[in-house]
Amino acid sequence: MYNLFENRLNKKRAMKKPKADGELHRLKRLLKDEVKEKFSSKLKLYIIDTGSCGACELELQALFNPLYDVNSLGIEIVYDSKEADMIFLTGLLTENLYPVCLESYQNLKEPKHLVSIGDCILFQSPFQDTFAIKGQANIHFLTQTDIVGCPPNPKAILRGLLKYLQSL
Amino acid sequence: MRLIARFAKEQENCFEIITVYDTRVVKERINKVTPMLVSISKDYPSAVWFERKISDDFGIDILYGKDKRPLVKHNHFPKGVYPMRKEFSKLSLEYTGNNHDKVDNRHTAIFGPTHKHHIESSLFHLFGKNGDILHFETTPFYKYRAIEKMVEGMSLEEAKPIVSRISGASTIAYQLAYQDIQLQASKRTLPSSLKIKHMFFLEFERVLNHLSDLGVMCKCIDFKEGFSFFMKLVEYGRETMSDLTGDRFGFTIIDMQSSNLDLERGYKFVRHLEKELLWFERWIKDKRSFWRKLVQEGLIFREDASVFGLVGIVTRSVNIDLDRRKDDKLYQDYGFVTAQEGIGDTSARFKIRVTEIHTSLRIMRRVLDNKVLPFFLGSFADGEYYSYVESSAGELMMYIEIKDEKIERFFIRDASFLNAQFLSRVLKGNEINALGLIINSIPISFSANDL
Repeated sequence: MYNLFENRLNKKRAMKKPKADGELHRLKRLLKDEVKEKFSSKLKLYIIDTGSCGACELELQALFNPLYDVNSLGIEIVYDSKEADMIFLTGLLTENLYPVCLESYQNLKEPKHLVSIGDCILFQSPFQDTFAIKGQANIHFLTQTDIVGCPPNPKAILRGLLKYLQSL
Repeated sequence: MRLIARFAKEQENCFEIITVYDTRVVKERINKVTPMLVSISKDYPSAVWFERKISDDFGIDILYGKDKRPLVKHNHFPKGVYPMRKEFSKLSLEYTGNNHDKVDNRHTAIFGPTHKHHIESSLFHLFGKNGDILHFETTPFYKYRAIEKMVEGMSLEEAKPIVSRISGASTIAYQLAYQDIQLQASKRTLPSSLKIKHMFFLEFERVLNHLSDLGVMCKCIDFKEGFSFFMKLVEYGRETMSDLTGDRFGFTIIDMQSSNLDLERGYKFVRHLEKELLWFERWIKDKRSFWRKLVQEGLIFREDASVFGLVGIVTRSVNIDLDRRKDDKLYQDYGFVTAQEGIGDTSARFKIRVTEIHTSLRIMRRVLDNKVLPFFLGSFADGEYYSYVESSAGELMMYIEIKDEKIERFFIRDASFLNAQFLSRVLKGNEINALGLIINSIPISFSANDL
């Protein structure tokens, strides 16, 4: 017989959050305040991978794990750019994804917040130019801030995002 | 015979088609004036994508092909341009018109580029009725970067950082396949101490990818505690990887340098993971509400897996003993046994991942007390080299032709190239709600596939 009490204890153990270090704790607190003040406690992110190796996406996914838990700060992912407050661009800007990227950018409501994540989008990764790559993202789009790294780790993404929100 | 890959390369007077089977490599030459290739897709259904790619890359007509739609070139790609031909060297093209397919929205759902079913950009077309999937199509090469062309003409050292960044999640498997080709070309053998170190990190990468897949599968069935549990372990693993290699993915760890592993950190990781995983297994063992959501979803049959030449966990979930590691002497010495299940559904793929994590942790534990010595490569001899590595997604095949110490032809066949072709078949008849679960249980990597 499956024990309901034991199940509840197990659930609690599985959901237990790891201890955040001092810097992360501070970052999360400041970010929560900024999101509350500038986006009414709900910042909706739309992420477009325009041709990355997948590492930036994994680091962005890590933001939603129990350690970083950006959901609790009011940050959430949306799958329609019309609903989004901010777009995160990752990867090389490829010719195939340029039209969808442009469409998403046009759909983004004003004021448009566009943040580039990683080195690829700035053409600073080892990849070389080919006929399938449109070019450096900040030539084709007006990116407000760049969070660099190959890939930037979750803490670096949070630091970059906080810096940008504070500048608004 | 199992079809591993089929690709073309251009020579002075002809095109050469190389077909790699598990037992032999077949080469055929076709003229350049009216290039035509007879399809083998009747005997090997997985040849369809390979042949569509050959047609797009080199402008070779496929005779008796089952599907002649473009694979690499999308709607807006200029006509009459064959990018893998030697004469093509442009860095920009006049892309024309709209890249969107015209579809009837009344019967089709379009997911992409960003959607909850897959983390990377991908475009799915879904035809459904009464909550069931009638037909499913994925758009390959959606984020096409032309990496094969990018590395042509580079030296092996110049191309190395690019190859290591084709797929972030499988970077160590890619680095290992590449290093294997470097070793073959320089006619050297890696000292066992370095092989052991590399095996440790390949297994480390497998553990992280399996944990991540398990977490996403839990999320797909609304088991948020499972998602939280696995993602905590992934984060712990990435931090450990960062401490051991200098970055969270191990982008530069496959080298010839002498470096002793941080034993204490390694042991701590292995012990923690073993303990946590055993606790989780005890918890979900009798959790019927959990297994009910996985059983009979995304069913794959043994015959289909053989006919379609699938690789990786999907084949091992139908009792096919296909794992490159079992033929590796080093893995044999470390007591490697292939994990297998028989049912072929998402529950079997879940269980195999858990078993494989235990196997990898056991190997890692035994590696930790080895000392690593320095090693250097010599010059690289011209020739054709093949390499195979069992990545966390399945068998990875890499081919490089070297001429004057430069890359003449570069070809990669990721596990996703074979498995993604089979998606439409495995999804047919399943509930639309199970879409994310089934896709992530296989798994598919578009960064690895969409070179």
